[in-house]
Amino acid sequence: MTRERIDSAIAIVAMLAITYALKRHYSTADAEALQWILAPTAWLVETVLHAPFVFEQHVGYVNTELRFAIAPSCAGVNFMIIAICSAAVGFVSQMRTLRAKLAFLFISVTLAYLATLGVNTARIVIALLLRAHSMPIAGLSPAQIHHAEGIVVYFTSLCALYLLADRLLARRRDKAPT
Amino acid sequence: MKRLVIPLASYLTVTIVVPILNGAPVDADFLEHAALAITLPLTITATLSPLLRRLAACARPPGTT
Repeated sequence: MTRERIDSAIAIVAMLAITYALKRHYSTADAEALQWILAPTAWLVETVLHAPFVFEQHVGYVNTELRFAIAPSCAGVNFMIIAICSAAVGFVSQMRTLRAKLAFLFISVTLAYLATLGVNTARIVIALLLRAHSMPIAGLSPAQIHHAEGIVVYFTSLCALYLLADRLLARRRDKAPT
Repeated sequence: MKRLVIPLASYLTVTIVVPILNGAPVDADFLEHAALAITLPLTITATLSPLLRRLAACARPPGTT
């Protein structure tokens, strides 16, 4: 096993530790403990829709007029975990040193957090628009439409971010001296 | 398709495999979730792949394969 492969394996183990800790925190956390992701998401949704969301204990951010809650179940933590995993598995092997691999991993965590805020905001805004114009789609119930919309927005965004990162890293590789 | 295998595998692992490993009940609700979580990403991947191939072909300098 080459040194570079050992370094990649260390970085992947670090990624697994981070995502495991995140998943464990998410599985037991209530709305208060998820403020780090719910509060900025609610602020972004408020900014886009010009509709106030008020924090309610054990529920999340609620807008009674829209009858919508930004609850722990729609915090987007799973998307963040998937984004971190995709970045690490897809690109960590392209970094040369262990330091570069770990730095890439920590940058991925930060960018995954920021991407989650943006993508989740888009998902919530689209969900509210779909509900406001309640149109029947392929015989699906409103709950199923909400679920399907979440999958489409999250997965399409994940692919777009992955391809963008791939493109940026390829450009960086091409510029690097050989 | 090949370029999107990692996001697809990560997505399916976190949304379907991890809940099963965590002991989530495989009931009608979970099966409905799984059906959507498998069908939609596969459809998106299958739709994006030819588009990406075409884009890559356009970006390639003439005379290269």
